[in-house]
Amino acid sequence: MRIQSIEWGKVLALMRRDFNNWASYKTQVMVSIVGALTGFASWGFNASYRNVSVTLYSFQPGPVATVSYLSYIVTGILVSNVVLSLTSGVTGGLRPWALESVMMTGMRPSTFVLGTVAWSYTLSVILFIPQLLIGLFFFNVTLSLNILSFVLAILVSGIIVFGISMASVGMRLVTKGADPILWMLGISMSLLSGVTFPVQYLNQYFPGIIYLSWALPYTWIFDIVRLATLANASILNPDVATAFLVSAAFAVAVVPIGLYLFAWGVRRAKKQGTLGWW
Amino acid sequence: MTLEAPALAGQESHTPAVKLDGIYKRFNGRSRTLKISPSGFYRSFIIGEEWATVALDRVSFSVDHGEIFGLLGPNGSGKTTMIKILSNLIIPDSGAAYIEGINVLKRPYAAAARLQTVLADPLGMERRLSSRQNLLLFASLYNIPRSEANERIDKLLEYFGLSEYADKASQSLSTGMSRKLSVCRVLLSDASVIVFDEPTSGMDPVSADGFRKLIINDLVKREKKTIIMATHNLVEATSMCNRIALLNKGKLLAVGSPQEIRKAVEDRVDVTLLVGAADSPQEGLQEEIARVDGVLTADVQSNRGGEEIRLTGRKDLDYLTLFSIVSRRGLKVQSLETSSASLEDAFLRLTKEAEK
Repeated sequence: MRIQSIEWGKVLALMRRDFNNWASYKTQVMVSIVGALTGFASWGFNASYRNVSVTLYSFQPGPVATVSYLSYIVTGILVSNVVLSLTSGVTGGLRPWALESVMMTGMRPSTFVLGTVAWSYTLSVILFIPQLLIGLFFFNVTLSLNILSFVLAILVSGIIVFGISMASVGMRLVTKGADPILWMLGISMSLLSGVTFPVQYLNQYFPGIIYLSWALPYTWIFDIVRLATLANASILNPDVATAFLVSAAFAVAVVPIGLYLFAWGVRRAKKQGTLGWW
Repeated sequence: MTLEAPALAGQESHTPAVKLDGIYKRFNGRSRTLKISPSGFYRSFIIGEEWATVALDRVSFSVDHGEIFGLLGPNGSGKTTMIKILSNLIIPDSGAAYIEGINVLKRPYAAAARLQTVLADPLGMERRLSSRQNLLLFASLYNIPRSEANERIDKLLEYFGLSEYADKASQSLSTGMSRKLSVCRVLLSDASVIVFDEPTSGMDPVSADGFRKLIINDLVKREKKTIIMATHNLVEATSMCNRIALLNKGKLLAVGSPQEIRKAVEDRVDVTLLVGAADSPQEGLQEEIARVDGVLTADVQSNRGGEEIRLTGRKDLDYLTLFSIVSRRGLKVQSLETSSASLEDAFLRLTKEAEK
């Protein structure tokens, strides 16, 4: 399967389906919007209260920049909200009662996976904007943005998350309930990937654990997004370029693994006759 | 036993619409229950109880273009598994399925463009979305441009009498209307083969009759579709299908027209004899009748009007002896009904033979 074989019209159709479903529950719409904004605000107040500064290290031995904890945590929460939407996207988007009818239409795997998680991502991105505005104008977060690096960071992060989505959907088709891959990445993200504190900090308590942190794809997503948005890091800087290259290598590795696990999941479910079970 | 299917009028022997070639499918797994005791937890939850069942056992047949082909069998006979293999929702262990000559496993997208299925449950619709939203979703999945899709959806909804429900949530539709909406979905696709799993299941008799007419008149006669339908409704199969495949426990018992399958048991006759009430209990009557030459099974039931004798026998049944037994006991014959074998008889007999 090639990435260019994604059928975008079908992805949009599945996204529209999930949007229409989501919008048909009035209370759910209100609760998810208010919940996202208040959850974000509580983190903002938390960081504002502490009023400390954080040294950005990336994976280099020397510091890259010093930023306010408020800016650090705001970017962390914003990115984690987008990444975590993967979980709700896979869980909510599979829609087993219609899965067989949808698969029967002859849909390519990449199309199916993107369509499954598209609305969830889109919603998280939509909620990202008011959250960012609250961060900028209410908590006075200062960004130091490098446009080119930011675009690349979004692109590389998107590919990594897409690869993980593929793997997760494949696993979910077999396990039906919890997906161990996503679960493991989810619980490790908050502790090891640097959402609310730099990964180097944990190393003071557990020497060597930093290597485990850098082995996780999410750590690299947070790293390159922060380099691009908080440190005005240019891709032409060799240290920054290295971080982006390692992230890109992760993306290149994760996608075929995701494809393999998705194909495995579909095949196994079809072999077991459980494709439409839940 | 496999009977030769007659060629449909006007059909030449080209690539069949559907062909199954030696399909074998065995399901196995482990069922798990959570028990609190340590040994129970290990045995029942961690290890689980292994199970296996052969859903289809080397099944082969083909379906001609423009045919209504029935898959007939009791629950668990393998009908749904077969349908899901045709729809590329289940992968067989061996054998191959072809849609208009296209191998379903090797060219799934090309096969999907030619065959679409209305499953029994769930119907595959988004319950919160309206009929129109559901159809627009599938139109996009079938790569139909939006403007053309809107036009086709309007026509289909109107044709199937669903226009007034177009913008209502599909969960508000009745069972019959939901099935019609599913038919609209598959008709959007331009697939030449449409498969139904239990098409009239859960419908009231009027809706079921209307739906059968819809399949015959609209899908086959008007749209020139090939229909495969799984059912355990013998009347439905007899009245609608050009040919039938009889399935039981994954085995193909027979393939042929309803008439041809009935022929398999045509040497049989069912007799219902109603005799007047006797002054005394008729002990041993059933056993005596069962010994009559040509009687295969006999059953005697007493009711207020007399005795009802039901028997199944060969066509050369010794009626003279039968009547002499009744006469000797002083019973007066009130009515006599005989009927030749029905498809149900054929089905039951072939099933029993296969199980022996």
